[in-house]
Amino acid sequence: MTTDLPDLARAIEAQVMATEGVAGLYPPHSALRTILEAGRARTVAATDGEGLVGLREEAGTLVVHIRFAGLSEYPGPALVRRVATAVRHALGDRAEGAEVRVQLCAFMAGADLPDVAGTPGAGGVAGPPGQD
Amino acid sequence: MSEDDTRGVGDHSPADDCGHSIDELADYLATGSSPYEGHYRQCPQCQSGLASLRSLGDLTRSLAEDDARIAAESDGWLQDILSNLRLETRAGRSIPVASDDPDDGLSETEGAVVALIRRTGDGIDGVTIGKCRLHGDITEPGAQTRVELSVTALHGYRLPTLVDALRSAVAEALTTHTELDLQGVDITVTDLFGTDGAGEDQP
Repeated sequence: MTTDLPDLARAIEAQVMATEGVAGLYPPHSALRTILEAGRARTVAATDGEGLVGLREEAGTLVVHIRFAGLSEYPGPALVRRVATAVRHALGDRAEGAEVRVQLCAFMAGADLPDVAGTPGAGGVAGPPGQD
Repeated sequence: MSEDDTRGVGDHSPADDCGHSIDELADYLATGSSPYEGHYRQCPQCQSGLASLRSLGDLTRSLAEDDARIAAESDGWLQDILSNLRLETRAGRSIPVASDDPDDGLSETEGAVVALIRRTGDGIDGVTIGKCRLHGDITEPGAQTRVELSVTALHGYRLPTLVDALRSAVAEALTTHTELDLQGVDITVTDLFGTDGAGEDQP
């Protein structure tokens, strides 16, 4: 049941990135958080650390964790809900009972876009701020 | 919900603070390189800090050289702003967002909202935000919230007009981008700088 998680994570990432108003995705946890959680035995499967979508199964419940940057032209709350809807769409028949955690971590203006990992058209992780 | 519950909204805050200091970010901006460059590219708190430092750099360059020197030496103006940046470039608390599905946990970071307010204020000619705080239990849905701002104004601008414009812009940003119940925007002009009035404190 858990072997398809990486594929599912990629599908979610694509769906979220295609959502209007999304500027980019951040890794699901900070490096510190990842280290702190590394030893948690109850996590039976996870894609955290492998991509920009946190996806894990805990006690039979699928948990999705998204951290993203939104364009400031789009009202934040509606955008967060749109991303959650996109995640559930990507989950398909696995959306039932799944827990979807979505957090807007930054508001970006157009000029900020190159700083965001996963920015559409930027080819994934972009160059350092102010250094392009 | 216990702090140990990895599935709760508490997932996001405050443990997501990355631990990199504003001084490290300043070094990165100054040198263009850092062993943590890869992290800076992917961390919203660090990107927010870098954006604020760049904005501050723009301001100091816009002031006459003597003004900046007086400001830095006389009253710690620059240090005050940097101290506030240190506090504010954190993920901070999680601000809840109403969800359509009861199994969803939706939120915005306090750091994102503070950075938005700061950018909104800095976008108004003649104003630089020194301190920005959100007061209220913003971890509760629809919490009554007040915004506290301290600002530096450039000499030559009419202060009441400047403050009104700032208050309106910040209120619009907060009500557009959060579901908090905004009770007011409290603004204090703490410094007044400019060619003719360098280093003057606003009474």
